[in-house]
Amino acid sequence: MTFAQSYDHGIRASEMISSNDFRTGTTIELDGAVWRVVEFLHVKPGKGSAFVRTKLKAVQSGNVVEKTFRAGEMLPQALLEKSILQHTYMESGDYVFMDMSSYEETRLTAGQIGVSRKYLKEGMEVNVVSWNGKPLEVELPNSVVLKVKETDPGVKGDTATGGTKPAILETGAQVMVPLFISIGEKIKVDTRNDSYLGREN
Amino acid sequence: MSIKLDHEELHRLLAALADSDIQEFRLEGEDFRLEVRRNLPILLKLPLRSL
Repeated sequence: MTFAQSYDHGIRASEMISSNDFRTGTTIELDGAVWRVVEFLHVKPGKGSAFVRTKLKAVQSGNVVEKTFRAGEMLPQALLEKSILQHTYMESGDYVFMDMSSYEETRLTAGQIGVSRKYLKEGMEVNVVSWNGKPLEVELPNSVVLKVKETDPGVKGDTATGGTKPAILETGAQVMVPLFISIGEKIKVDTRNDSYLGREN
Repeated sequence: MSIKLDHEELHRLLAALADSDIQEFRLEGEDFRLEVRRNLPILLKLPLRSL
């Protein structure tokens, strides 16, 4: 018996998804956890039945597993909700976020936020992804502007050599910056790949 | 977690698919999509006069 067959029959048909309709980013529910499809391979052989081999990433833990489904197998889709919340303060190691329209607070642990926390600053607005009312993860904006807290002294006028040096930002994140960047300057960083995007005034 | 395939790998993959009985092959990842199908129905174009 497949997981889909053994799943609670009370689930609405609209919440099921066929493995044929998988796309990267599709979220499904397996064994009580939410998994995101990060890669998939759909193969239809001349003889035998088609299958979909997937690479799934657990939204909460970040674990990655490979799983194969029959083509057309129905699975419960995990419908995630996104809300824009502002990171207001930290308390006892928890990150507190506030819905600025309802003033409702949401607390997340460092583990729930994962690596995103290295760019998280008080006052920053982020997408908090929830499932069944339970916050799962934090999505940062694609780029953030942060102040350089530590780096080697800047080399004035060195804009052409293309050399880089490590810099620690106000949130603790470490990124590679051009040689001319000095402590106290604000820089724009791509949060998806930790790359330096430019200087900000 | 992105899929990368250079020309050589792509040619090897297509050759392997040609040697197999696979009719449809779809590989998708972040910023990557490859779809190979064979034996697609041929659409015949008929001259307007024959309609």
